Amino acid sequence: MTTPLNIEQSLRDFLISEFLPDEDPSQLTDTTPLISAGILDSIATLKLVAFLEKTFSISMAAHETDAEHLDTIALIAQLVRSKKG
Amino acid sequence: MSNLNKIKSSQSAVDAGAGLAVAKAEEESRRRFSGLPRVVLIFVQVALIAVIVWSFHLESSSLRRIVYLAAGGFLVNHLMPRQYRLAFFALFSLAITYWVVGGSASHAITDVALAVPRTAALLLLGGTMIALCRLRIGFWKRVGLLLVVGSLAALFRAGIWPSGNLAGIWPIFAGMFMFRVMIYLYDVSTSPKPPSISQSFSYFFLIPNVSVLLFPLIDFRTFCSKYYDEEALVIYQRGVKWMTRGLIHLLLYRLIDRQWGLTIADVANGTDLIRYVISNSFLYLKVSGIFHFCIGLLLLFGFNLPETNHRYFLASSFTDYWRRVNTYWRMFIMKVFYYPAFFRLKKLGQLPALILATLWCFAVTWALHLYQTWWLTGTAAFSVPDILFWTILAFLVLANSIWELKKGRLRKLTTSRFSARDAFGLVARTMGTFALISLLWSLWSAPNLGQWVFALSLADIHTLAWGSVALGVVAIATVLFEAPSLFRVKSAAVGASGTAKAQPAFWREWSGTFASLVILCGLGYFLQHTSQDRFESFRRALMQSEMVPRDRFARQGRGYYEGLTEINWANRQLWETLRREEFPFMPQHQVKDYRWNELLPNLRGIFGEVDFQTNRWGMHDKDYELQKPVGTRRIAVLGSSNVEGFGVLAEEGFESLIETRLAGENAKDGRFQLLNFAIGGCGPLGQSTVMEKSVVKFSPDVVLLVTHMKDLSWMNRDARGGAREKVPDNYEFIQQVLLKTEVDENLTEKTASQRLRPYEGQMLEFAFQQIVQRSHAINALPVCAVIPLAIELPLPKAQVAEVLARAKAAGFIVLDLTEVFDGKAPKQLKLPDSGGHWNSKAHALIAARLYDQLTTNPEINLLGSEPRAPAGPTVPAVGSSH
Repeated sequence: MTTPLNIEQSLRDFLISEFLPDEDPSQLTDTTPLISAGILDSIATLKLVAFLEKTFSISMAAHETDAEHLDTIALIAQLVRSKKG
Repeated sequence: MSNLNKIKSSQSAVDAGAGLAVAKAEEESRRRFSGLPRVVLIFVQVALIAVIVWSFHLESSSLRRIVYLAAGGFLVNHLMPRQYRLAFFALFSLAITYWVVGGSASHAITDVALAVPRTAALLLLGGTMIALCRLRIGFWKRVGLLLVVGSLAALFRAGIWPSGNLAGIWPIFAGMFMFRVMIYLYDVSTSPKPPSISQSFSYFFLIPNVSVLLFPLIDFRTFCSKYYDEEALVIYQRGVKWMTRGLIHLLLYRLIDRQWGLTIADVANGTDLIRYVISNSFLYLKVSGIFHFCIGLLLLFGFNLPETNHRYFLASSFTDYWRRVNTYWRMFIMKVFYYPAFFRLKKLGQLPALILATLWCFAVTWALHLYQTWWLTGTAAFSVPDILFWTILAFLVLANSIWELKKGRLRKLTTSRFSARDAFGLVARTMGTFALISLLWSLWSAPNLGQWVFALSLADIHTLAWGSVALGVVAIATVLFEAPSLFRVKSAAVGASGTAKAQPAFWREWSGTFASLVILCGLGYFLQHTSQDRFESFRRALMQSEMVPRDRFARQGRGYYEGLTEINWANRQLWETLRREEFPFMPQHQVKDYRWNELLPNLRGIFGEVDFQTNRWGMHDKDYELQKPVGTRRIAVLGSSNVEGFGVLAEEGFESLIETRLAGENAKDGRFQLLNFAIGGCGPLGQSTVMEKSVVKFSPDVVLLVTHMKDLSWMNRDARGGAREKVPDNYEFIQQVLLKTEVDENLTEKTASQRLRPYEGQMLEFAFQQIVQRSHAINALPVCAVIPLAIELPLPKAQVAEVLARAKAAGFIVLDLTEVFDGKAPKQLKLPDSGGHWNSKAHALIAARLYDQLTTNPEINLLGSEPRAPAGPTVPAVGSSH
């Protein structure tokens, strides 16, 4: 079962392993800007969406790929929680 | 809890809430006024921007005035309580719209008779579109209704339905709604709550969109969410910085375009080629400049919008280029087209979905560019270079995307790990991307594929050498701007708290921008007041407004954005609305034969800065009956703009002076008429067409062709024009020359010109023969007066000899007036216009000399018995004239 803290940690692990393999994980916090800082571009966003749908068994909509929903780990986790109810 | 306690508790909560609101308002008010000194400093910068815009005549006069008004509006907006600012901005934008659309040449402020109906039409149409987007019905039903309204507007735009005084507003309406309505509909459909009316009207009627038709495609959600989302002074100062950057880009554009840039027509060798390719890639500075300027202006009102493009010429891959070159366009395409397509297709697999969605986006981008062109200019045409450009770019971006999908790309949380190896790789990739993108831009700017391929075939060692220099500059710029950690102290891109690192100090930002603005002001002042000749070309390049009509020969090879960022001078109302000056009086229209233009009949206006009138036959002359009166001798005068009398009053032209003198001094010898058939820009081949279409009907006794040394190069120009424009029923002789020299529409103009040069004399003689033969056919005496233009002095002797010889060989009676201006300096003989046309003094000198020659030449025998037309020579075979 996914606990509230696990979502953030899962996301952090995914982002580090997929996009920032050589970076210090402690630098990636829950409020680090992802889209606005260029870490998440369109290709990365699609990979992230695939990860979220598979890992958390949710369905994402096209309009949920913007900074309002995916710019930080905190926002992404909030989106996931809202979909899981 | 008892009811009383509940009430007391509620009351306390209300009191606490009210108290909190008051405290918040007081805090906000304190912030507004405590930052006042810095606001004043920002205002000073805005005032300097206004001065620069005015002194360099940047963009249209309506935009310049919007900047002045926006300076005041900025202060009022800041001093207003926060909750009223958005409504103020919406009303301010609508007021400016009202003021701009009422623009005309005859009203200093605004013409109410224009402003009211036009503003009402914009509000009605715009309000309808906004309302349709907000209807609580299905998404596709709303799309259908919007398409209906858009189609009705398109019928007006196309002129199928007349719109009277509203004709000028359609491009303005398009600039506001053609794309933003798509984003607005999408965002309204995917948001839980509808936006406010202030947000909606602010978004569509944004200043200065009413004056800048090619406007950045601002995202609605970003527009709303970024409103005062940071400290106000930080936002304002960033706005000023971007406006300053925009000014610098616009001035750089002017320098590159006017001093250094080449169109493909001018490419004749490897050095020209590299110059064309590199200069074209920097013409996007025009768009970048306008976009930075407009977005910066919006930041002054609290809309903390992102940058429109970011050093696109330093992109390190095609996907990077796509991300940087127009951020707003990319965000629009991704949001409205790419992600929805990808999500629908992802069941096919990630890779197939990515491929199809990417190709779909570029197809949409190409189509929407055509759509934009049509709305803003009224015309749009498919072109092979355009289709090829988008197709090639699509596949390059796709290939890059697939690579990034499989291999990933370098991302960093800090800059501390940027090594020399990373920097080297970045430099190499950036140089490669720059080279390919520049090549693609050169294709996009070419009028046809054949010319582009031909231009590329001219590449030589010079192309390689200068290209290497350009790439070296790109390499240095990459190291300085994109790989900073090699030279700076290692620092985090994001702070330890995970937020983006702190903004530069206000004073550092302010002083840098202020210094730039002071330098620009100083430059403007210097260029306006200097009288030193060595700065003349520099002054012309930087100080002249872009908004000048271009003749058909200069139009070739202008890029996509040049056509959109200049006010389409085919739309008279739009011209007068945005420029607030009379539409240039154009007494002629284009024709598809060697005349290139013909004068329109019964017109009167200011042309060449003097009163210009045409008679019912389309001549710049007084009226004449078609039928020659009994006892009258008629002389049909042929020539180009100098003979037409450009820039002088009709009665000051030599043709009129001679006619008057003949009537006064020689009344006993009968009556004399000189009919002026001259047309500006018309060379000898065109004058033969004038003979055929106009002169023959008037039964002249004498055909007087006035020719100059320039007619040699004009034969070259006309032969090239005939090939390019595919003039119908082209002369066989000219066709033979084109065939022999292998000149067609796929050659660059400069190369074609070089190939035709040896045949100029022969083509001139051929054109002269056509006029002679047509004169004989109507029993008129062919006379040729060789008169130099003021700009041809001192005369090139070889050309003088050639023109005289060709005219004589063709069968003309030749009047040699090449010495008519002897002893006079060119400055005394020409008007100050760019063509250096004859002034009234030059016309007087010509009239006196020509009168003498016409009346004393025994072959012409103008005052004696009727002259007879002798037989002329036959057409020679094509061969080099040297």
